[in-house]
Amino acid sequence: MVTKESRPPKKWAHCKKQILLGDEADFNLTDVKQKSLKRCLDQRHKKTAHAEAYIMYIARLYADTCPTDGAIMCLPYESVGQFYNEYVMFCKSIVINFDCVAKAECFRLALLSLKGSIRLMTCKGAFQTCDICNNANDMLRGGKCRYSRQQREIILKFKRLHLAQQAQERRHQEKNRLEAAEMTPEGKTVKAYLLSDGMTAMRGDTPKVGGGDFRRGKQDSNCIGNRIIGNYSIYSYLFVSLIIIVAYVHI
Amino acid sequence: MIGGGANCMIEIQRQIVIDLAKELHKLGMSLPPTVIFQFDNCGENKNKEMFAFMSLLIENHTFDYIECNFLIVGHTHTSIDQYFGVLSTAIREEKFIGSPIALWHLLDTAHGQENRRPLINRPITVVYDYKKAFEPYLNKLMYYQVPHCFCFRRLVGKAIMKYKLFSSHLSWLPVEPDIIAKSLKDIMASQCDKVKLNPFIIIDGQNNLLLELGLDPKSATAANIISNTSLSEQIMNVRDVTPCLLSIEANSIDQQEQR
Repeated sequence: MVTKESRPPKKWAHCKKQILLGDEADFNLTDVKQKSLKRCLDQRHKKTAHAEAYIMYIARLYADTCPTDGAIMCLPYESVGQFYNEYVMFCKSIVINFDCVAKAECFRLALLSLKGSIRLMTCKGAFQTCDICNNANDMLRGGKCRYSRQQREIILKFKRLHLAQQAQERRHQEKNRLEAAEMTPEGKTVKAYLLSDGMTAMRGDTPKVGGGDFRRGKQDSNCIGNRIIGNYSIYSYLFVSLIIIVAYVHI
Repeated sequence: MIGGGANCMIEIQRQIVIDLAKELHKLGMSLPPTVIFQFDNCGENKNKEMFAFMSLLIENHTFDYIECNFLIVGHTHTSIDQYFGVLSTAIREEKFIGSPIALWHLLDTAHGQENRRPLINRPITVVYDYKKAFEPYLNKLMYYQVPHCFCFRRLVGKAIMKYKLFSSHLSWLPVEPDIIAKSLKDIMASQCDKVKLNPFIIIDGQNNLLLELGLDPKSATAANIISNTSLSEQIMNVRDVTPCLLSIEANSIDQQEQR
């Protein structure tokens, strides 16, 4: 039975609240729902936590920042399935407690919970995929050949080195971009940065003159295709431009 | 109507340099001495003709120093692709684009925010045959598809090109001889005809892999390997997997060359 004398002093109770709730302790707890100690603990399953920890670890290793939103990191994987396969291989290569290894759905949900900060590149439709990553993934999946745990680890590290290398190239690109935006005290710039890229040819509806009256294949049609080339130029903070040039080409 | 490929890309680079010079002139500025071109690793950007064009820009004093960087194949997503996403959505949403002028207008107004619309937007209808024009002047260079960085600068009035496999490498290759070049003959004497390819070039050498695995190549002496069973086991594993890793590398280089 708790008597008035045996109760802890108010300051102690406040300190406890401070530790458990952090800044929220400053709020008047009578207004908000009180959080119990149990609710403050991480309620997630250990498998989800493990999957999340792995995703965060990979993001720290070689994630790119999203071109449009600096707060979002893009991981160089085409699909959740591919990322999950690598996760399973990683778990196999380093012997861990298999009770902690997340299943595909759990892994997907873990990735989804980090959507605000980490996303996948998912660009297979528009971009050529990396042969090195694809071949390494095939090897890790282990079709005809069965690799030992140590051998898997070597393949995984080989792939990681490759991904780290591409991250390094991107950092170099960012460095160049920032350097181009800098100005000397005299107000002059020393570098210009020109980023050129072409968009996948889009087929329009405009009929092509002399296009023939039959189609040989999917790529050959009687319409004009176009190639849109954008160029992003940086020449100091004052002058950042986008130039779009459209070339009408035979496809 | 024109064909795509190297000719088209070179023409576009030429137009862009001209456009940039004009726009800077309006602001009372001029082209800087150094320019960095950033491309993806596509064959229409990375070719001898494009390098010849860069050399031409150096030799006619448009720029003093040009750096050409290429991203690694399969990892070439850049900021401009986001803009392309807007354009392709706008094109997809249209039921019918009746003429080049309609397309031009669509591209001009595709972006909702006015300040993000293109500064210049125009079609190209004529492209010079640069391939034919540069053909007599091209030097033979094998495996130029492999390096990711190239630089161009002027030496005795001639443009010279150097390469680096990755941007993290400190020195440009080939190493210049320790002489002061006074004539074209001196420059041509140090010309190389192929890019040096070593095993594990895509991860910057086998030592990198060994270090990643926690194996210091310097400490892996015969005596150490014999005395340490775990070390010898690890080295055996590396030896077993090496042919597979080399085949991945060879395949990727081959596929890159085919593109």
